[in-house]
Amino acid sequence: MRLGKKILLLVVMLLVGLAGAAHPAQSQEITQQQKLVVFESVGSPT
Amino acid sequence: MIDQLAQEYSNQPVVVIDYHFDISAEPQFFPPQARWEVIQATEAGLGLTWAVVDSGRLYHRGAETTEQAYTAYTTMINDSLAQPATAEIYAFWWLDGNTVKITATVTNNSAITLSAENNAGVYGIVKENGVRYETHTTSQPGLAASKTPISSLAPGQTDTFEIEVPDIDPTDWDKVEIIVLVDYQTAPGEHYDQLQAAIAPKALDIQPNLHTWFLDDGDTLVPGFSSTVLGNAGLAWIASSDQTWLTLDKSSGVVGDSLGMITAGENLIPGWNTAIVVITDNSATYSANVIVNIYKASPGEVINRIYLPVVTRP
Repeated sequence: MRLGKKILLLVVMLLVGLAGAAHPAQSQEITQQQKLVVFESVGSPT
Repeated sequence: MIDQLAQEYSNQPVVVIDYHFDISAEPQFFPPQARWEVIQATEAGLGLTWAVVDSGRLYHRGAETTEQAYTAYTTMINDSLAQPATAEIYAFWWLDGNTVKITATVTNNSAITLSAENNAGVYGIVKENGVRYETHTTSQPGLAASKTPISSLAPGQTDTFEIEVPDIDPTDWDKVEIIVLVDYQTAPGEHYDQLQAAIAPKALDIQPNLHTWFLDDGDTLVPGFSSTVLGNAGLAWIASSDQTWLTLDKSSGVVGDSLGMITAGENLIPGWNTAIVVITDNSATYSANVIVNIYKASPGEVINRIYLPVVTRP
């Protein structure tokens, strides 16, 4: 492959990578409400 | 120990609630019946101490030493923190007399249909933070709780529930915290499991809710001061002052707005002057107060002030 084509391919890959970074796949964790832990005790000595 | 846990997990999404229970003396504060039924379902018989997370998915019935208890409790809490929430709760509360009223919107993200068959319910728990009652051994007292049963909420469904917790008489309403949670019984005679919990904010609130000023003899100028209205997004409110010497820079607004207060110092009488600013929503269902105290010196009276050094880091 000629040098010019290699550079073009590299630029295209870079642009594709940047586009992916700008629109990352939304994971379920981001939208899920954070868990709140409720610790309940009865008759605690202290 | 329980207070220590509350302190150690204070920067994490963990709420610690301690109920009073005394088998040797007549209790003044009973464990809230609604929660007691859930906790009792973990195991029959009495124990030294009953501690549960996730409504009993994990529980502990008492340890001989503080170290054993600490290890058991932190293991339970850490395990619970690692579990995903399987419901979403958006709740708010307000006061009607001495009844705490809660509206909670719940989305069931679990694979289980919540219903009367599995004793599913939405609970409101009233806790008072940092107060040590004689009947309690910690500063995490759970004062009362109520349950609203869920008749049917299938996976993926959302519904709104109303919960009322009557007869609340805390030492300080500013320390009251309302916890809302959703749970169900895993099988008849078996423990409960919790899908999610949330701390409900007030439907309408204003902070700061207390302003105190001292006016020297001859002074009539009190610098302008303000409070910010908090609560349900977009909620409209109206405000009024019960004293002619305290006027407001606006009589209405929406949550997020600030409310400026202006004092006519010449209209104050020597001694303490108190005004109450009341804000309510348009339906007068939710309300919040700001108290303004101004001490005006009598002729010849000198108000002594102590200036404390303040050290700050650059």
